[in-house]
Amino acid sequence: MREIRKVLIANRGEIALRIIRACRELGVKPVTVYSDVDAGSLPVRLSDSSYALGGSEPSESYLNIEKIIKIARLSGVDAVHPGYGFLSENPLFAKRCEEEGIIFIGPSSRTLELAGNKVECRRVVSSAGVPTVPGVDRPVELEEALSFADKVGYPVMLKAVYGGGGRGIRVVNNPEELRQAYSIAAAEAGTAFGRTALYVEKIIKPARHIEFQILADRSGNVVHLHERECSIQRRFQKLVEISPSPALDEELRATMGEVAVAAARAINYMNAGTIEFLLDRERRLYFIEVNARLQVEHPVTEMRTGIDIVKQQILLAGGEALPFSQDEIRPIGAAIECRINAEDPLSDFAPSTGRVIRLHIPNGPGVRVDTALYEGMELSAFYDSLIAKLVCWGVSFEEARRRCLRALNEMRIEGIATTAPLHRAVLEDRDFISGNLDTDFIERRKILEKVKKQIEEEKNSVQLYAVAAAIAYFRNNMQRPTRQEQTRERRRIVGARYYDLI
Amino acid sequence: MTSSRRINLTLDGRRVTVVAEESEGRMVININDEKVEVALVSKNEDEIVLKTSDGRSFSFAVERSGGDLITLWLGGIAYRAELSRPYSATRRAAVEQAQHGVITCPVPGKVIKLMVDEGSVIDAGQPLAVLESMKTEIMIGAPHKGIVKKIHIKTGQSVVKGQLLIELEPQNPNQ
Repeated sequence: MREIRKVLIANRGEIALRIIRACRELGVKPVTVYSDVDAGSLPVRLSDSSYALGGSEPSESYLNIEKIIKIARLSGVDAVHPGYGFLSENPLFAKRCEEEGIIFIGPSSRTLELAGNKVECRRVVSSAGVPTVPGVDRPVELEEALSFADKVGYPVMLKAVYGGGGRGIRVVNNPEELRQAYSIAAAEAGTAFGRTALYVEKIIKPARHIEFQILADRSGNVVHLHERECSIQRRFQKLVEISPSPALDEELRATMGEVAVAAARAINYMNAGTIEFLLDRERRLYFIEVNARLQVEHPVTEMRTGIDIVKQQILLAGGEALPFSQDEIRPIGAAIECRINAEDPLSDFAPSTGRVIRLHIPNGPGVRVDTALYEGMELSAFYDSLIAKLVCWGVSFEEARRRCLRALNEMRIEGIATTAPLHRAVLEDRDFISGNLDTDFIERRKILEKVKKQIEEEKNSVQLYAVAAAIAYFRNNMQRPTRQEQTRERRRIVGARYYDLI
Repeated sequence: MTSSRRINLTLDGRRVTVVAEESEGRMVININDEKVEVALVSKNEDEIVLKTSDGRSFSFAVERSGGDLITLWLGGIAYRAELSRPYSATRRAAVEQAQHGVITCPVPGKVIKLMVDEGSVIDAGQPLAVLESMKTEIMIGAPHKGIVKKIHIKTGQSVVKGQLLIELEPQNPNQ
């Protein structure tokens, strides 16, 4: 056991800020690192000390293991918090920390290695009695993938063995598609994850995505902080997360919780993590993967349980025992998180960059917004498009939902396009209200089409006012004539004088 | 005092002609057949706040992109407005002629409203007639103070570009 007094945050944006907040509340000194474009960011301004990584590309900056290790040594931190994304699930980084005697706030490098190898992880948890999605339990060549697909039936999912976070997944509908996708997917996996290995899984559809938040101490005590439902996704990326899941009753929740804890134990899990499942119509559950890190959607659980997961991470990493037993964890009410991304709903959700010219963060009862945005901030295309997380709590799901809508209407982020209109459409959808969710929700409910239509309608109804505002603006701020007009005016005056003279 | 102006704008790539009447912080905007009345609540360099007659308010964040191009933002939706300033030769000629008491037709269209009679005493900017061209209402305002000397058009009449519409007699400010 070693007390953590100073933490290096190897991340950026809202999650770096979130970790700074946890540090402050614990009396721990936060140290940050930053890339060139992040030099003026809130995490840099709010930490005790900050070190430049140089460059702006992730590979030069937040993914540069040796540079970060060097800064950790130089600044004399006790621990490194990797946040999510970047190096958070990289076993090499965790190993380097371990070698340097720096605490890696997360599971051990061995657990990360195992969790990162999707097929090996499946095999290990499966042997501990955890049901998994039917699939192969080793990396496969094309021929093996084809025979597996023939056996279980198309469509199947082709996945990168070392993938994760919803990336490196391809759905194939027939042998031809599988043949074509195989080499492309392998090449992509090589580029993205450094290893080309692929495996195949049956597709469970329709299904809900339900995950359990886990906390584990160094002595092997494991608890779960109940579930989050993340069925509302687009291209395997989560958009809205809720808790509790309307699909679970107490019995199923208890069963799934026990299975999640068993899965965590099977891989010697330590610190905070998430066990992801699919739940089909017959209420059968299937393990998908372990997210061996703090997750984007962790505030949903924090709002319901009152447990500060990030503070727990730091305390657990320092060797403290879990301060509560499973029975003491009693979530209250409901919570919803909307991921606000800098993406343009009118151009197929392409990343939207630019300057934030106006910012108003909503507030009021039950509203939490995690963001590192500030007015005047320039959004670059180097990093993830997540710019803010709106998380609302309510006594009931309906109260949380109305709160979320209320807060979305208060929120102002101008200068860039965001996914806020999409969230409004989701929150007002009848199937969302009734809890009828599955991973095809966005397509099935034609949410994108509705969002487009709503924005067009909004544009039409606001256009006249925009014209009035433009005229008022031009009148007040553009009295100065253009150079062309000045010249013309001069000519006219000269001409008139000449005329007057004769 | 009400001032009325015709303004050519490009909004999101679409050219529009707007007739804007302004008085004491209120503004009436006419485009095509649509009309809105707004009150200007606040106007500073990076924000325009409007209030509608039914109590709604719109606060646009403004980004000036240089030249006469601005982007108004509301709810993450951008409205790009560009002022079309350089007048066409015909319009400029019309403006110049008007300074000498001759008002000619700026665009081909139809007279839909006549607001003055011969002999009317008029103020600068006072609406004299309204034309309709390509479903756009175009207000013809008085270029200066004076008296209407002769009206060459009737309501409902079709007019062509450059056609003589109204002759004015400047009023001697000393009289």
